[in-house]
Amino acid sequence: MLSLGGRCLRLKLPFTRLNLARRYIWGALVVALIPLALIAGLYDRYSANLLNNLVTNRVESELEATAAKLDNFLATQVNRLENIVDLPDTTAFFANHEDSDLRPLLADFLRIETESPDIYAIELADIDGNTLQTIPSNRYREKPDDFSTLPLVQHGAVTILGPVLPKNNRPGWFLISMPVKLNQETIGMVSLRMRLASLSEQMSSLVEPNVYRPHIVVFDRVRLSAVGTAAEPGIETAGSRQFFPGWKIQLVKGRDIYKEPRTYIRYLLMVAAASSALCLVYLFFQLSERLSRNLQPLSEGARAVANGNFSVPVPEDAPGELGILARSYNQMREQLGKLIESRIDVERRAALGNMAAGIAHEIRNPLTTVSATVHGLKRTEKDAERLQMLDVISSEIARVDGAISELLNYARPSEPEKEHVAIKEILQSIKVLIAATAYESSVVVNISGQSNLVLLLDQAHLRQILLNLALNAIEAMPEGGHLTMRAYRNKGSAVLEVSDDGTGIDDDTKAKVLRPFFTTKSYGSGLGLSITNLLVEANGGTMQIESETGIGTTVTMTFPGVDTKRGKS
Amino acid sequence: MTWMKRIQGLCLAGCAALSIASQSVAQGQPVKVGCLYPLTGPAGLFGRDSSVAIQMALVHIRSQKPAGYPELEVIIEDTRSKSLRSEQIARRLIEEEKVDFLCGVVSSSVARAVSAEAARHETFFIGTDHASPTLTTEALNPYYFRMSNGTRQSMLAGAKYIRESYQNPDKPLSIAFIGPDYEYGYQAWDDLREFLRQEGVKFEIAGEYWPRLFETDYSIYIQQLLDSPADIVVNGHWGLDLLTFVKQARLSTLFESTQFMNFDAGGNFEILAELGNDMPLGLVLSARHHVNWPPTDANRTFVDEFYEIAGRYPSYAAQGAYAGILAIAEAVKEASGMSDKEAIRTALENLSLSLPEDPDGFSSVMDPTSHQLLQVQAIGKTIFNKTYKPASVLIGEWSIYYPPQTWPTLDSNPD
Repeated sequence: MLSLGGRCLRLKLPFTRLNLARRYIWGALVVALIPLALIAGLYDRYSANLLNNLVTNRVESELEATAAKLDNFLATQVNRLENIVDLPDTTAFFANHEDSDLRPLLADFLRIETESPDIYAIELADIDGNTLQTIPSNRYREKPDDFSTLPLVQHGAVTILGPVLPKNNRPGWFLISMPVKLNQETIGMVSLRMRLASLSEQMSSLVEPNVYRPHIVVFDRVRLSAVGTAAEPGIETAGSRQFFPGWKIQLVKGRDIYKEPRTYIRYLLMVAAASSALCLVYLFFQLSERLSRNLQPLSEGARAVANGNFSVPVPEDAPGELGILARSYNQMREQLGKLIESRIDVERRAALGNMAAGIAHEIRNPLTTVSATVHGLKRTEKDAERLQMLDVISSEIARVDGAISELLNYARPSEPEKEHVAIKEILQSIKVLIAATAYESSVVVNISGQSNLVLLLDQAHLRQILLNLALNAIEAMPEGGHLTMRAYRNKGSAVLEVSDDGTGIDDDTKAKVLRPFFTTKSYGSGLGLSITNLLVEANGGTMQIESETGIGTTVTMTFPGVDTKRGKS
Repeated sequence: MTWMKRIQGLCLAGCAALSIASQSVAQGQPVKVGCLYPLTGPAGLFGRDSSVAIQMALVHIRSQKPAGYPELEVIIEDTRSKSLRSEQIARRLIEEEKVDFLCGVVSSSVARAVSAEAARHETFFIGTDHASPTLTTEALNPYYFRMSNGTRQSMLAGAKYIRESYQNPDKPLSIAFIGPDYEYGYQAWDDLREFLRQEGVKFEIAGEYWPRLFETDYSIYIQQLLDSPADIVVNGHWGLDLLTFVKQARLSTLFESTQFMNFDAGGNFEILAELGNDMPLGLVLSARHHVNWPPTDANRTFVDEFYEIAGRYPSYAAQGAYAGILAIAEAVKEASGMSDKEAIRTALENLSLSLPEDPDGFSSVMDPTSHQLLQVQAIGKTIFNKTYKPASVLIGEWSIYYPPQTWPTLDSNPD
């Protein structure tokens, strides 16, 4: 919106219009967003792959480490078994199997071995599998119901039977057996009845219930959890090598509680990124709009000046340099306006001066002759009616002469002869001078202010100024009113006010009232206020007119500072 | 008391064997008692508390000497919870020290080996702390007597407690069990299931788990319990195992997601003292003796005297050892000496003892068939109570279960 006459420019800008500010801002946005999107995409891809690789590598290394632990655990038990099998007392026990008692040393040795929490019992059996001794004796076992279907693996001299899963409210177990030989002939078997959980617990480091669960799988038909209980099959995610023929570790999918949050977080991040981009776009849009709003009035103002309109100010509330630019622009506009106005005025007055000089020369000289002739006729004229007519001619000649004087005054004002003037005396003399006119118009004249105020100016000019203004004021109060002339000091300057409560003038009239030949009256030259303003300015003062229709008018003149004491200014 | 200082001094030096005798000179040979306890290792506190209680029992017997109680000489050996070592110590005590009685033993599997050794030598074995019912049923021999409640009594009381407090007529209770992987744990679980059936409690088994004895990492078992949610988790651990389990389980949501119960050893003061503020509230626990129950003068005196001597409050092992020594003195007195083993057995079979752990109006009585002392079992919940420091949580909200007239037997195989 562009408003004139002292109102600021406010423009509604079309969005599609790409001014320079918008181009720069949107360009910056694109330059910022494209690399950001590229980097974010690449990073997301890279981090996802990195995480997957890390997880895979970690799982594989842990699987291998756990398989090695299980391998080692079984090897330790086999070694333990070998120590028993290799004892001469063991061989002696089987060689003399009719004597079913163990030698005390062997019995104690086997008891110590069974104090390991991993071993439930040590069994000594004949070549037909009949158990001859169980240590400790109270841990004798019945042959399992499913004996014939239990997994059986022979690896070298070692045989593993089982696992036997927990049942009848007792934990599971498996049997590691090794033959006892005499002269290359098998004479018996020694078996360690192992705690099944001791083997499965070796996988404890693999337990990540929220991601995966480790199972020991034996021949793909028996499946054990880490606590040695039967496990339900699941989705296999990874597997180890066989740590014993037919025995391996398998990782099955767990609850995978991380997947959903991971996906959720990823989506959340994407939404956050998109929201950030939208916010960024909105922010840049706002910035662009704001910058455009601040630049557009400057542009429009410059265009108005180019079209010769100096009365269009631009708003100065823009931030930073734009505000400074707007203020500088307004200053420049005003100064340029005044310069041009002043130039026009000078040219106008020069033209008027030439014209006035011509008129004075061509009219005044004949008028002087006419006036002298009329004066002579009046002295000899006896007829009263004719004498009256001659008086009218004299009066009209005087009026024409006055008009020519005013015109000359305006075109070529006399240089002021400045002197110290006591304002009190001037005001009083003016009051006296206009008293009769004021009385006729029912106007009450008041003078007030600082009585000792002294001004340095041309006294005749001041009288003419005040008289012009006072008479104008009286004319503005045809129904009577109050005329106030006031003089006072304000911050080192002398202020003279002439105010009335007459008809007042509107803004439009006020803008033109100082122009020469402008008048609202049916008579008059229209030069009174123009000359008054000229005289004020010639004496170094300024004049301001404030008026409101129906309320009245106040003319304020400010002159350079003077002291209240005479001669000190 | 010079002999007390000797005990403490020897224990601090990591002694393997201790010998305690009354200072007064006996008329004739004193009765020799060889006690087997772990004084070091994971269960060492049980043995050390038992030693203090034996001293207290001897002081008590000496004070009762005018009533005809015999002179006792007690030898305490450190078994270190090893089975073969215990067996060899028992053999030596019998053959070389010529003890008249063996006593003690914390672990049920060790006790079974010692009991067999004692029976072989026709020497009485007074069990004071182990609790598996096997020794009072299938492995019972004429020379074995147990002087504290066993798991069967604990589980009978536990089954009654579950029936009274948790039975749901609409759907069966879901119960998971976790206990040490040896005879004690198996028997406790067998007994509880059977007694729940006898009590008419409908239940289903959510899981059975058997960590090894003296396990140090229960994390995979706790995870397994969390994965197979149950209304009740019955725990069969004791001593350091239970302590470790609770410490690790409290870091998970196990205690919030299920009702945790331990009827045999969970309420032992050792656990409460060790855990202090870390002991969760609302757990259902019991033990064979409590420092704050029964609220009788006899119990308060026993607990306070123990504290004066040891500088700590007693675990339940102390009460068992105290009862064991008093039982020996009582039996020898009744049998008028050690010469007649049959008379000793008869005296033990008809034993009635008034013990600090007995509530007013009740005396512990020996069941002549099973050789199991019948005592009251008190079950409660953990509550804030700082009366017996360093424990800040004790058992409260008691439910009291008097023993049946005769030793409860299992009607059938639980399965």
